[in-house]
Amino acid sequence: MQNKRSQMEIMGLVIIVILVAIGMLFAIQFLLKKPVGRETAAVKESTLAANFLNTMLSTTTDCFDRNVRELLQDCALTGGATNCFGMSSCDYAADQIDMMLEDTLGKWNKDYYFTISGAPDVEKIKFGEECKYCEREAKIHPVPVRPGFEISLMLEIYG
Amino acid sequence: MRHKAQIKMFETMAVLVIFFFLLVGGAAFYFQIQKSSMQREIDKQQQLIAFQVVQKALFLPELDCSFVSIQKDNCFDKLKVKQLSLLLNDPENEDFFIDYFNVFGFADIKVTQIYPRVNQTFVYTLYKNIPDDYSSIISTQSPVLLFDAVENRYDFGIVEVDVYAE
Repeated sequence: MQNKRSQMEIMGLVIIVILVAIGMLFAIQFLLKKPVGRETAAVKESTLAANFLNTMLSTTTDCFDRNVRELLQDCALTGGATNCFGMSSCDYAADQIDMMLEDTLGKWNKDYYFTISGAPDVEKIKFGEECKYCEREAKIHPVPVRPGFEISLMLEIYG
Repeated sequence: MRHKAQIKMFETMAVLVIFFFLLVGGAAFYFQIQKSSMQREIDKQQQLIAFQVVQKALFLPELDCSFVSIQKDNCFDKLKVKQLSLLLNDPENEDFFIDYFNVFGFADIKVTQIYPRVNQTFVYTLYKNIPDDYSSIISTQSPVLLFDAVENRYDFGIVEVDVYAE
């Protein structure tokens, strides 16, 4: 009777050891399958977002040779008074920004979300889809319109 | 008595076989983990090297847009890009090419204008050195301003860098 009870206890211990071993194997496998170089990818995406905003704002457009920054400032201040080929400066700026986003991040199959905040007319300019639970790298670029009044461009790139 | 000794010997041998079996299994498992962690480390280093090459390409003083010693961020002068590309792709300038090999190593660096969409003829290969044998290519793109000194305007371009890992 005593012998049988001991055997049962040993069996129980063996089952526990097997379960722990299986659990550890799963944990090791999970650790080994972690994406490689996520830190580097995050730095790359952050640099990409910053470079995109910086480059895009200084790009000269065909609308009176104004750059995108000047068009957005005009949009925020006047609601788009400048006429660019029959479009308001807001619509024209949005059109050009969309083109640049599509020819870069869109072509490279990167998910992004571009928004502008700070004035009602520029807040209508939004591109991409927001993903609340995705890993992201975001950059915010403030653009002064006049003293005490600035708009902020934000670009989120999802990893 | 002899029969008992034989059983004892078989028992010892069985224990030894199981012991060595476990030892070999454990060692194989350990080396597999070491191998994959080393591979991860190598991949991480290659990604870092690729990122360094991109940064070096973006901050080449030979291509910057400077006005009265003030440098504009993230900008290439189109005329300088064109001239450097011609110099680096000329087979007679081998010494020049070797100097840049110390900076970029095995890589392919291309500058392309993407905006305005009309007149998109500005595509230049700045540097190209592809090894005969490579294990992977790490591609990185970055937007860059392209200053047109003739028209006095800034166009939107991209720098594409492919780094070859041996």
